[in-house]
Amino acid sequence: MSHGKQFTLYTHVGGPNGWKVAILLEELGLTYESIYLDFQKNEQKQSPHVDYNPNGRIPTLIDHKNGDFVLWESNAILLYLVDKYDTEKRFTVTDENQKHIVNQWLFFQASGQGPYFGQAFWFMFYHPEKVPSAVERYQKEAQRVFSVLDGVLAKSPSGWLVGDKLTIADLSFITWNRAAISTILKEFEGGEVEKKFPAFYAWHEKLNNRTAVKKLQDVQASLKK
Amino acid sequence: MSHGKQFTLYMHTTGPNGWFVAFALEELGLTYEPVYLNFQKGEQKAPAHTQYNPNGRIPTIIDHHNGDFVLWESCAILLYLVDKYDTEKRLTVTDDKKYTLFQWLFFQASGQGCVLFQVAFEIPYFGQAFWFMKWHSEKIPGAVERYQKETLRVFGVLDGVLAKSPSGYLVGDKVTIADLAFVSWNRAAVTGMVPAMEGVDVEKQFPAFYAWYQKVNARPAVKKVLDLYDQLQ
Repeated sequence: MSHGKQFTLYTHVGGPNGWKVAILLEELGLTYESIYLDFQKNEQKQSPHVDYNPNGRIPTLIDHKNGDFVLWESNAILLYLVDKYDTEKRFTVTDENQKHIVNQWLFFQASGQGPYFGQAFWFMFYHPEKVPSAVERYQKEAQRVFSVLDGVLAKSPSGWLVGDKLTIADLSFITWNRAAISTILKEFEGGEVEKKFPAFYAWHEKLNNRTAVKKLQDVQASLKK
Repeated sequence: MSHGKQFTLYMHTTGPNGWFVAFALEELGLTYEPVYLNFQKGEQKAPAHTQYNPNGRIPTIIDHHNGDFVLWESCAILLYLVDKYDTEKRLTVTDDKKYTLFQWLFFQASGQGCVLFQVAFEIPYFGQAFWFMKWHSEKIPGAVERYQKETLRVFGVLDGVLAKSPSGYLVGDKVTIADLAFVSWNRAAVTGMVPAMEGVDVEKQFPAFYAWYQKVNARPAVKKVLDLYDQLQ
């Protein structure tokens, strides 16, 4: 790779998980080259990408300052980046027990939020047949996930998921939450996410308004034109 | 909790995610009291459990040797157990391979367990039965096939990686929690779902995957827990 940046990030213009990693790279001031794979051409499942990531999904990260170390699974990448490059520990915690709570939220995001919201999109826009009950199932689950987060955040003195500060646990939820609010739950039971889940919504807005997050939203919007 | 064991583990007799925490506890020789929640009665979503785990899913673990520290999400629990109690680092790795281990755990959590869960629970109105074939509800056109295909694709990904691994394990040169994390869902898929899929022969089509699957399942600690699991069904 001759782009001179520290990282190569295989990603996608729309896919939330790639943007999730980009957010942290921006927040940490790390340099990276984004390669936007074309899913219509199935590039994610072909060489060279699949040589790095046999699962053929994005994101995949290569660290050229670490012997071209390859890593996939967005939340594993978040953990790698904070471990190695967040020297001031701005986006993580140092208390042993709390570190595991960060992991807990990362796994909840990876298994309980992302995939379910992804399935909602699938059945809303991509499945060959229209199956209202499947769409409803995932919309209901999206609401349930919001209510879990809302309940926890309402009780959190700092308004963050872990300890008294923003961590990658909070960052990991942004991109899929945005997709859910703007699309999945827009028409479902009147929408009204802010009314139904006020603590969740306040947290989401706080995250969404971060400089790095807004910058990348603009980048994404310009790419989609 | 007066059971005297180090851990309380909220789990379910069938639900695979609790069982692979049990594998790790056995492997590490740690004592635990399983509390099997009754999903028919919605116990996992009742306050006695949700006070610990607001998501209302299993497993949830409480460590009574660490100030009753509470943790949920099975893979997060695995990482906690090896961090604190795997003093010889038998089931984990220490260099940059650590991140590859995280990678496999996230793949398991989001790409394997989740997908199979969708097959099992694709029909919306029944929550308990694992084998989707036994349900009497609306068949969603294309949905079951979608997740069956994805299951086979995941087998293929694992098979490809394992075929290239000199040790036959996912990370480094030994078994780790990354391998253990796949056991229960793999078993459920191989024994429960695949038989219903025409023309699928896991051993023939995914030989490296199958060899790994057999090897990990034959470990004494895993076998002990699998026997217990079978008894409870």
